[in-house]
Amino acid sequence: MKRYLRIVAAVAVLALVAAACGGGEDSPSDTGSTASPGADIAQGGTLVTAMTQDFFYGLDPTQEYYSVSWEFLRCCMARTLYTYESVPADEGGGVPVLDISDGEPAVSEDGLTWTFTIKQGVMFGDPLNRQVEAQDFVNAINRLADADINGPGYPFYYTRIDGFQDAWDGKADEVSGAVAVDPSTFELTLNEPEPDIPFLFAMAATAPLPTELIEAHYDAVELGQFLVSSGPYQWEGMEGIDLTGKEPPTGMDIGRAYVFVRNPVYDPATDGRRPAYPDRIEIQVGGEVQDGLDKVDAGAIDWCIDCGVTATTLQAYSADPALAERLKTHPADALSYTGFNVFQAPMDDVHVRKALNWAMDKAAYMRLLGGPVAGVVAGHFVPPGMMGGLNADYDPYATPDNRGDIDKAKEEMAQSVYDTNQDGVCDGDVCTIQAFAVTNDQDAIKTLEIMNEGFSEVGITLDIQTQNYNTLVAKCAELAAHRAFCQAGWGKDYPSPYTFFGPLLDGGENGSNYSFMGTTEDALTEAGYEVPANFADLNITEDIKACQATPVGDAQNQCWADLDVRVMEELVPVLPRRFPNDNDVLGENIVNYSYDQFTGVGTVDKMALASAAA
Amino acid sequence: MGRYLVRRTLFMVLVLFIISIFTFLIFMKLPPGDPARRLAGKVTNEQILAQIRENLGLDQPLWEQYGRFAKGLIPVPGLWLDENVYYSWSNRQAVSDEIRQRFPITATLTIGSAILWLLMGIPLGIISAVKRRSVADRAGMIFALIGVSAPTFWLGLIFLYVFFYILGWAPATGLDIGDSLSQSILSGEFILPWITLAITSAAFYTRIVRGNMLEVLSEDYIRTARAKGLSEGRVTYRHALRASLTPVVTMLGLDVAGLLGGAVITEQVFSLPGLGKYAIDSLNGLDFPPVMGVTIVAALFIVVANLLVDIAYAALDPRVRFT
Repeated sequence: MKRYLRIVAAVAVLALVAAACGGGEDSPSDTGSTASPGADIAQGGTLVTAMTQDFFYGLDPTQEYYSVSWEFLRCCMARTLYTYESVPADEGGGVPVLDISDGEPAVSEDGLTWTFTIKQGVMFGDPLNRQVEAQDFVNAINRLADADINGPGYPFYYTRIDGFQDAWDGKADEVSGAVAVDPSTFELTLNEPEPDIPFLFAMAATAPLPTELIEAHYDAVELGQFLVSSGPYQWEGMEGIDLTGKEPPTGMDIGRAYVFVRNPVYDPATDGRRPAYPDRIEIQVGGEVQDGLDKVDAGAIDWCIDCGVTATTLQAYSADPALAERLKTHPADALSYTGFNVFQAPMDDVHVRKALNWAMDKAAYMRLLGGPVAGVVAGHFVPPGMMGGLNADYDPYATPDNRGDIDKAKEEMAQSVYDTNQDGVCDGDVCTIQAFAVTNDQDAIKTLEIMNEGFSEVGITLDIQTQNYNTLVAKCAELAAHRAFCQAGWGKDYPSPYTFFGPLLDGGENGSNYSFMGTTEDALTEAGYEVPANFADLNITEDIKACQATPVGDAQNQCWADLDVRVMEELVPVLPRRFPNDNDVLGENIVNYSYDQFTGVGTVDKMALASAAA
Repeated sequence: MGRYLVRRTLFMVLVLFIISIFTFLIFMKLPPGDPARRLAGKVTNEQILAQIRENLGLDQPLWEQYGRFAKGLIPVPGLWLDENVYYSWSNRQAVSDEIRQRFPITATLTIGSAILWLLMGIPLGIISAVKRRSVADRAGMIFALIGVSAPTFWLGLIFLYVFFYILGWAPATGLDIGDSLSQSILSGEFILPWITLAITSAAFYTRIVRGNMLEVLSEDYIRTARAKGLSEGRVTYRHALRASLTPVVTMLGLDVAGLLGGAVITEQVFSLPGLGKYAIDSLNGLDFPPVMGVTIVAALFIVVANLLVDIAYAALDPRVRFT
């Protein structure tokens, strides 16, 4: 399941809860790092966890593109030049901070050369037990640029590194712009300025990969099974392992169970951000969501990593104050939305798109998903915490109690070419559009029904059908499929609005862009469309580049916020529905908890255990 | 007998071949999605998709793709489930290794529950037949009705809820990390799965044994045996039961063989990492090689079991001859 799916799936099981749950009137607890009152926070103990969905690629840092995998790489196994504080956004959790980089890098005046000094004392664990070196970072970038390895990852973010595209295209064996000047100096040369370097080099794919490991286990997934840790933990069984052998360490039973133990040569003095409370972390893979939550409740495990919360658990935990403390809820830096194909009738008319934004009853939609615990109504495109708080209350289509405003919707529709008599109702067969939900996803089907109720008032009828998830996603991403309307969810790759604007609203047919903005005229023609007169306007590529060129900070945030406004008021390629929450249910044994805003998962190494203090 | 075995073996190969073709076509020609797109990540392009298809051989003609997989079905070392073809497209693990590691778990589940359902079903069936229309018979038939009607997943979830969650008598789902299979058995982690799987089959066997026994007990030779003064016990257990169990042997062989291919629902409910769970997880992930591997292994169990049952049937019933 892809990363954004986890966010959608984590709250998709919520259903309407009886009034006894609190009726959704209470605000969800939005706590950052919290310790249980009176609890002793100590190192030690075994954190016993489960997850219903396995790591996707055996914790191969180059390939993993999944929030849970990223958390275990960040907390435990794969330090990077930059990292995050692993706290909520309002505590600075979305700002990259230095990790292996010893001080700020030296950046040339033109922004094209970044020189990092590797901090001394950062060690690879068993069986290497040696200092991390610059060549290890070069290895990571070279492997990231290997198209044979890296289908599922995020290499497209790194094409500004000199030579990266050539290596990707097979024209070069190595990325010329990633160089080990000496063992403790790593230099990046870019072909154009990239202010997002701190974000990009906090990603697991840039974590140092020792040459010894590359030479022994270069292949996809296999490398993860033998991953030599640079963090506070390592696979159980790594001590004494023959890195050239075929048997993975005992703690790496792919698809079934994982065990992390302490990296004996990890030096906390080189870190300062990872308290690494548990001595040992166990993960059992498999099972269903409710089963995982029942095990937490029964004390069989401390935490179900990807279970979120179900209606049953929500009811139980909301009703009991003692249990409510163990339910943690945070904004997920994600968006549930509807994508409009801006080239496909009737969505090729901005007035239709605006009318639908006015017409949707978002309050009914939120009630369907369980109220405030499921998140907040989305009034714009980029989640609230990702632009330094800007646009937090911005909603150009705000309606009383979020119930939709049919009058305003009709006013908008009356300006559309598809309302031939300007009565506020779409006319003609083109006004019936297919809308797909994943088969057996009752929440998704009911969401479409709720939308249809409002849309039908302005003459847009949804022909609701179901389809297998993989086919649905594939068709929505295919320009030639002519789908006007697609339901979607998205989570950030890193805490920059670029990771929303870029993949979702730019680049044409890129697999995630259901609006197809940024496509070419040739691609449109080939797919059977007529190129519209306003084709040049349906493009935000230059706007994105302008914001990226702005230095990270308030100025860049403002740039993104302005683009957010332009998207919502001028272009309207989406109908934002909800900014979801991440929810965690903790076992009694956990006495300290933090939420990692970057990964959207509980911070593993900050989970202190009552059993450790006892 | 020799010619019979040769003929049956050839037939077995033909059956496996047909199953492999159907499996391949269903997965490749009628897919619920594109495996390459699923593996490509959320932002992709045609170049990445083409690369993945090339890596997985999906860009080859269908007959060539099938040929690669078909070669891996030849039961010769080096060819059987060849690691270069039969590996998971998502986690790159060799299908043969996974099957080898998961089979003992499925076998434990199957054999344990088979013993239980025989211990439950046969005595209940006998009692129901011998004490026909008694309270014991009625109770036996009600048990059979419930057992046959209740879905396995429902039974499993109910047992989990009551015995693990409420009473705390049973361990949680899954197998404890670091425990060997025997340790898992001894710590009781298979008890609820055994009972869950056994109940449905026990219900069937109760009815079958009861029906067969009633039929046999009305035979002339049974009346003759009684007339000759044999005790009721001897009549029932030495004469009637043996004849009644012949169809049970057939069923047992096929049931066990079928479950050895993966007790899918039970493994899913109890999170047991056996063949059934492997198949389901692979199907959900559009991971064809494990699907093909498990399907063929499961089919192999069934056809071999069919053959063994036929041989056993002939041994039990002297009237049966190989033709």
